[in-house]
Amino acid sequence: MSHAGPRRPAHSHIRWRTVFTVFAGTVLAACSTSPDTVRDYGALTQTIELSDTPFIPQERYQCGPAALLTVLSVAGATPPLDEVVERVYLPGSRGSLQAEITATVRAYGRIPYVIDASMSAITSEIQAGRPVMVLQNLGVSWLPRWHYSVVVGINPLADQVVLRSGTDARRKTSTNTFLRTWSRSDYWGLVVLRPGELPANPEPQRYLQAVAGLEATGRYHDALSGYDAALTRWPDSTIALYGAATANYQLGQLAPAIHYYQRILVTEPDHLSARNNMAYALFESGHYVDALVNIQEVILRAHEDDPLLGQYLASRDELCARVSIIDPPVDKAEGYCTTAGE
Amino acid sequence: MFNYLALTIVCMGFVQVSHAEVIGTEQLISSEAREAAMTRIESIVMRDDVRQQLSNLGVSQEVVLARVDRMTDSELASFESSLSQGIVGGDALAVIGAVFLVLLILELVGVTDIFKSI
Repeated sequence: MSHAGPRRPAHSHIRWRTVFTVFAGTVLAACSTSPDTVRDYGALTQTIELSDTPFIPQERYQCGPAALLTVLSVAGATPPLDEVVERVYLPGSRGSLQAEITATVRAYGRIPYVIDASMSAITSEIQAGRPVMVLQNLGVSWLPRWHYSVVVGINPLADQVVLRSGTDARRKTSTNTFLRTWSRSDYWGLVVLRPGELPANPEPQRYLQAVAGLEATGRYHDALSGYDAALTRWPDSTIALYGAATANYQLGQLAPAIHYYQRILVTEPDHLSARNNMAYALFESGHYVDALVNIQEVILRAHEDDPLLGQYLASRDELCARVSIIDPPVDKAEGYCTTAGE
Repeated sequence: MFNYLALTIVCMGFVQVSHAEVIGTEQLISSEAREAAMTRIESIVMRDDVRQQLSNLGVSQEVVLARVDRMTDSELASFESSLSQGIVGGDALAVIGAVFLVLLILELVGVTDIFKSI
């Protein structure tokens, strides 16, 4: 039996909570069982179980690393358990944080996707061949016993789920019990995707944010596969185009980078981040004046309270500094660097 | 050897300058999310009944919004989700909706001194 103790995000409104509970306790009391929308199995009518899912028994308190390695290995990443433990296990709190878990998934070049809070979301992922890592609270809310396990099977006829859980290779739990323990983590459930793979019912923003995490940690190839997959599903998504452009740029593939930034700017000429980056891509490909025209345009169009204004100005300074040392001097460049208004 | 070393240092310096810092996708998403959250919070704080209650307590909307603006992204996200929970509760408790909402806002942005002064 295990005790994972993820630190819950600190709330600055504890006192408010108390006040609210007093006022609204009666209203909320009716919400203690999971609503039907959460319970629904979706289109599933038959038992389904991913029996090939490896079983990695946990050691003391280490249900986080064991469950994580289970879902990682299904996605083709098979690091040694020790290494995973080192990355996610926090000895002080005898558990793992969700944020460390998603960061670790990225470190192995996979996409951590947090699924919707429903039984049907788990069902769809299992039908797509992906077991779902879940956070449960096996205690009660005021005496929590946090536990990570992996849902590998669902039996809608018997109202049961099958879990790889702790030292149990195949724990059968009634759906009601499972939902009660899962609800206490706000239904936190994670699937691990290979780059290029989309979740069963992807929510664009959440999926792209997960992919952007790969880009932010320098995994540009993996990120690009993720953005490409997004573009096959949502061809006009600005974020997906932006991501594909930026990942291409970081890989030194300037032509596709310019192509994707251009696609954004055709429909959204005021997309200043895209134009800022476009300036860099043009500069790197030797179109110095075009680059300066674009960065000047960014600064002219920016509102003074734009949180990224400082960055745009830094971009212009950098590009102007760089163009000034190019030999032979770039014709007309001077004008864009001295007249731009601040 | 020394020349080689010097060249390496020069190149490192140059690499630092030339490494263009484009605006990453993650940064774009979080700045857009922040902007959207600010807009939603503003629309609540600017509601007439909320403004009335705030001014009854001697707090201006500007003070509240300035405080919200100073929050980090994660504080803002947590504030917004608490606020929407409050609104859901507020519907069930329509009678004290605006008062409640204002107390919630003040609690969340940390204008707690207000309770001492009244």
